[in-house]
Amino acid sequence: MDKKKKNRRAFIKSAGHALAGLLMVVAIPKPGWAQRIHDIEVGEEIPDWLDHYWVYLIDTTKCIGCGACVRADKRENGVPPMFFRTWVERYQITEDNHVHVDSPDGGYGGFLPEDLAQLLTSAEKDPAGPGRGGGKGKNKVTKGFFVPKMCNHCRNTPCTQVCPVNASYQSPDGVVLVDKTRCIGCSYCVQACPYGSRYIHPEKHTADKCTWCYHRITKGLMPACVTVCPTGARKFGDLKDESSEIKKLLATQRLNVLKPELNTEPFCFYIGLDQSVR
Amino acid sequence: MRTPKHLKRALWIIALLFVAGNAVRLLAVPESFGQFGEFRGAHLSEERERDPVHRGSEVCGECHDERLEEKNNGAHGPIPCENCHFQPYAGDETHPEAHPEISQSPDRSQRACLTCHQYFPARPQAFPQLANFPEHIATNGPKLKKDDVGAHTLCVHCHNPHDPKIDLGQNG
Repeated sequence: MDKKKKNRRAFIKSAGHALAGLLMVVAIPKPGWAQRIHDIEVGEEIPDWLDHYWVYLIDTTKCIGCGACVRADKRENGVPPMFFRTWVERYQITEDNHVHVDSPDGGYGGFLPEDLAQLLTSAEKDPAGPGRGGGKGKNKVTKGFFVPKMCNHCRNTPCTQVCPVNASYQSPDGVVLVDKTRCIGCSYCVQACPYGSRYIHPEKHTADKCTWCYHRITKGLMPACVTVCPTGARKFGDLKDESSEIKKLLATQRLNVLKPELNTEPFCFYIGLDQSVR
Repeated sequence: MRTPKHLKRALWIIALLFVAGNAVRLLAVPESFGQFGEFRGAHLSEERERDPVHRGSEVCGECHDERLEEKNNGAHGPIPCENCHFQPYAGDETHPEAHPEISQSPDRSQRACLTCHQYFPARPQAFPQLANFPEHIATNGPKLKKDDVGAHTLCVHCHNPHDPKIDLGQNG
C-alpha cells in the first residue's frame, strides 16, 4: 500500500516536470517567419508592397531584335560583360525543319551579319544571301522570330526554395529578389533556375538576376528594358491596377509561358510564342 | 523522494541548450528577418533605394525641347533619347557638365541604324528594313534630286535621325 502511494506521488511529480518541460517548449518565442505576410496589417511600416502585383508581358511578334533592352539593362544595373539579366535569342527555322538559335553576346550589339562591309558594298540582289541569316534551298529560312528572355519571376519558384540562407525570396509584390548581404554565393539557385536567368557576379561573388528594376517600379517608373523598347514588344504593369493596359492585354491576348510543364507558374507571359522555343 | 541525479542533469542540459540556442538565434538572425516573410525585410527598402539611371526623354527635353518635339512628332517618336545618345558604341566625348554619363555625340555609323533596320528573316515583316544599301541608294537617291547622292555612304546623310521619314512626294 505504502509503495503504491509512493509510486503515485512520484508519478505526479514527474508529470509536473514533464508539464514544465512542455511549457518551456511552447514558451520558446515564435520565430518571425511564422507570422505570414497576410497577417500583417498594412500600416506606415509597409509602404505599398501589398497594393501591387507586378506582371511582365513580351510580344514576340513585335520584337525586332535590336538589343536596346540588353544594353539598357547593362547600363541600368551594371551587369558585367558576358553576363546577362536579360538577353534576346534569334530563332530561325529552315526549310528542312531545323531550328537554328543564336544569341551573339546576348544580343547586346543587336544581330548584325558579320560581313557588314560586304552588305554595304555588294550589289547582290538576293536579300536572303549568305551572312544575312537566310539561305537558299533547304537552308532557306521559312519562319523566324526574336525571343527576349529574362527572369520569369515564377510564383512557384525553384530558385528560392533551394537557397540555404534565405537570401533569395519572393517579395510581397511578386518580384524574386536576392539579398546580396546574405547570399553566400553557393550557386544552388543558378542551377535550380530552369530558365538560366541567374548568374554569380564575378566581382561580388553573389547571385545576381533581373529584379524587374525594383528600384524603378517602386518609384512609379517602368523597368529600363520596357522604357527603351522601340516597338512596345515589352510590357510591364500591375495586376492589382484594374485600369492598367497590361490587365487588358492579359485578358484579351493568346498567352503562353516558357516551359509550362515545369509548373513554375511564371509571371512573365509571352504573346506569339512558337512551340520551338525552349 | 529526491529527484534522481541523472534527471536533474538532463534538465540542466535542456535549460542550457534553450538559453544557448536563443542566444545564437539572437546573434545570427538579422533584425528585420521575418518582417514580411522568410527573408530580411530591410532588403526590400535597400533594393528600392538605388537611383534610376534611365531618366527618360522628358529630362532631356528640359533643355533640348525643340529636339524632343521634333523627335516626338517623327517616326522615331516612341524611342527614348537614351537609345541613341547613350550608345555603347559611341566615342568617349561626354556631355558637358550637367550629365557627364551621357555620350554627347551618338554613333552616326551604319551600324547604329542597322541595329534596328537591317533586313532579317526573323524580323517582323511590317517593320521598315533594309536588305541592300547600294540598291536603296540607287532607287531612292535620285528621287531626292540631289546631285551628290551617289557619294552618300551614311544613312544620316539623307535621313534625319530625329525625324527619319523623307516625304518623296514633295521632292520628286
